[in-house]
Amino acid sequence: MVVTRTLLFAMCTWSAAAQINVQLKADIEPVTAGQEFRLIVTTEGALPEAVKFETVPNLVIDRSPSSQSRSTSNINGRISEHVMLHYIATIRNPSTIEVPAATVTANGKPYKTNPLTITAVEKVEREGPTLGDGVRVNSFTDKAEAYEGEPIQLTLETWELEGVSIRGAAKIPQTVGFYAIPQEPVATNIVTKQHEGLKYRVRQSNQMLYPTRAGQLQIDAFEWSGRVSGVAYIDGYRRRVADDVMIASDSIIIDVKPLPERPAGFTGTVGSFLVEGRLSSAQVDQGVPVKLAIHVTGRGNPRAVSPPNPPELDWAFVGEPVRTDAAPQSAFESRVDQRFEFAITPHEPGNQSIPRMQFVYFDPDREVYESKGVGPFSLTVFSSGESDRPVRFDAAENESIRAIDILATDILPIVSGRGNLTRSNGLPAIFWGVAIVPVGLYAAAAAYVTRRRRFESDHGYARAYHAQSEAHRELRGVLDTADPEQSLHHALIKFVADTFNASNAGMTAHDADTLLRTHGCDDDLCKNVQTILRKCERAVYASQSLPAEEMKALVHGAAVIIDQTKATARKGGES
Amino acid sequence: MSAAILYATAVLSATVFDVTFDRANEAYRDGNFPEAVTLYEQLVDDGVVDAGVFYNLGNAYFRSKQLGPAIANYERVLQIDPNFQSAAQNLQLCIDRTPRGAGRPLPPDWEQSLLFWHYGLSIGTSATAAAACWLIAWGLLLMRLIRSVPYTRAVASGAFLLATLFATSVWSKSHPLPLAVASAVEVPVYFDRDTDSAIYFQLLEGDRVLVEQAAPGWLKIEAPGGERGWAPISNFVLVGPPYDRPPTQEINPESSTISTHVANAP
Repeated sequence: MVVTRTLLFAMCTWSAAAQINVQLKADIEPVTAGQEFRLIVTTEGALPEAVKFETVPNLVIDRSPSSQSRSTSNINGRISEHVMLHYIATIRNPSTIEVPAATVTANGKPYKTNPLTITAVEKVEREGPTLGDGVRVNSFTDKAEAYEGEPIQLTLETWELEGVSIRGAAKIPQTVGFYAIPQEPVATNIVTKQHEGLKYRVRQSNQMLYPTRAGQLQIDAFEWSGRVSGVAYIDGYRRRVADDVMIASDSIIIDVKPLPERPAGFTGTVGSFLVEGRLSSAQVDQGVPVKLAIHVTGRGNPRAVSPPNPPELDWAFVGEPVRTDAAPQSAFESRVDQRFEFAITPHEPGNQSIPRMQFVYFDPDREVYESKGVGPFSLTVFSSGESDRPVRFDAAENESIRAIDILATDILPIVSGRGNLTRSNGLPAIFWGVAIVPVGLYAAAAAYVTRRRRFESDHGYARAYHAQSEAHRELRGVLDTADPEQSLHHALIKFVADTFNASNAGMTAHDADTLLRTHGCDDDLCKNVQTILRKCERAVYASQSLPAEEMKALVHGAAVIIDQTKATARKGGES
Repeated sequence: MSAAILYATAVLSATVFDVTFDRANEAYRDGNFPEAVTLYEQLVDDGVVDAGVFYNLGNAYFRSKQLGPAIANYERVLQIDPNFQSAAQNLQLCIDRTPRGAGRPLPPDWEQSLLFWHYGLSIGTSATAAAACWLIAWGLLLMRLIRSVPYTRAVASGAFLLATLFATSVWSKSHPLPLAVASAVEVPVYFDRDTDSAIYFQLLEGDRVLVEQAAPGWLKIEAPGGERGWAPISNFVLVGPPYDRPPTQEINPESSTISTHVANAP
């Protein structure tokens, strides 16, 4: 840990030695006149020792910072420490104030911050916010007029009122006629702003746009739709309220001017650039390529930077340039850092010269075509003792060279006899069969096995499951037995015992009645069971046989009772 | 009865397709390449998706000095059967003859990492493997229901995983990269759908690009270097599926120059 801290400190110290940046900003925009806000002085790469503000009429700034915070960032391996000093300030009256650059002393040296423009608005007296104030959208560009290809920064803002929660989706505006980098706006910043006395958390997204044609081009409205919810006091009670909201910003019109008449050698590049050129070697053997690197840096569309036209040399072959882009894709700046490498292969010995190459571009700020020259370069080519024929090393040779077959003379012959050509019907039905059938089979087998296992392990379930069918089977044979009253009594008692998983040994009509009532059978059903069982018991105890007709009626009644009891048991009581 | 009629129709159409294929082959052997192209394209229009038909069509286009459609058809062959060595060889020969000799756009990163093994398999092989693993997995689970055997669940899980991988391969192969091949000598790519807008970069004949979006008369393409822009659809042959015809071109068998005519292909 100590080593890590030491390293971090060493790296911070190194970065401090390399560069110290100081910045001034306000914590909210615009501020309210007469209300406190914070001025934040950020120092990167060093500890601030003192901060001095110029005196500005109508602006009051506390002499000492109200708080201090620190953060460490690691951007592309560059570690830097930021120290932020917060100063409480007030603007007395509504106005726009130019705050001159503050002076920050760090490492014993003075550094100037950026100047700052602060707008103070009048305090708005209003009733509490409504759900309609919960979310706002805004879209704007850094310019309303531009030349073809000139970078325009588009900013989209979603404002969320403090204290409400929003859930929804934004519809990115269409930008027909512009080339966009990146393809969609990306979130870049979160700031605090105020509108009509309400404080909002503003999420900003940015995108660089490059007009591809002249005329009036439109950036469509930025839309947001979703749900806004918050807490309100209604009739003295704290309630959660929500509403569906759909809002849109205004569309933006950009007036795109055509480029003036294009001069000879214009590469089509628009922006402001610095161009440097370097030859990898001043001496080279005949037939060995040397690299001519053109380095273009500046501001413009990184995808539209074209290399200068390659030099026409009768003593060498010049290959197509290889482009390397070192600038990361950015949504809020149009930085260009590109290197073009031409491979120049000399085929004639001697002291040769590469003439000056011109990089012609249009500068939209100055509204003129600029031309930056690179070269000329001198090159000494030593004879290799071989013939002077051109050496082929890339795919940019002329048509006659391209026509020569080197790798193969001809294509392979056609195939014949494919046999049974048919229309394609996509994946065959058997594939879907294979996908579905095993699942169905498994489900059926699983259901079967689970049931079987329950029959084996759950005796009560098995008894109840078979009770109805066994009782009906016994009833069908009651009248054919020698003692039908005894058989009917036994069948009915056994059914009741099986259905509710009770022992039927010694069960009487009273026991059966109790069991049925316990399980929710209704009074009629219980009485009917009791009646049949009592008649059978009396006949058995008196050793008398019931008349055949009455016996038939009892068997029929028992069958009905069995079905009703089973239905009640299935429902879980309450027949 | 209806099944018999269906079967008869299938057999009859199969015969018709075979006859057309043989006629196209004869035209090719006689040196009548435009006729061969017409007949092979007719088969493709009729819904025949066969590596041999696309391969022969690629050869016929090559003989007709149309590198773009030839490359597109060899690409189709390799989509259907990646092990069709003759098509791979002829494709390489065509690429060598293009001005730039640029490579094919790469599939997305996830596919390159997850399905690095599937590029040599045909869709049929992947589908069969997926079905086999699926059946084995469910068979093992069924067996486990009846009798517990050690490691059944682990093996079934492995089989399910393999089935998922092969099924992903099937999906990926049935949704190949939307490729297009530049068919004109020079294809300007614009920043916007407007021939009056600035030209971003130029493609050369035979360059293969990814199609990001299609709009009436225009394609939004991504070149292998990552540059994106709009180009008229009439300058491309779409590899597909669907296997559409390339834009009509006037073919002069005696000359190597081709002039493109169609401006508003669908």
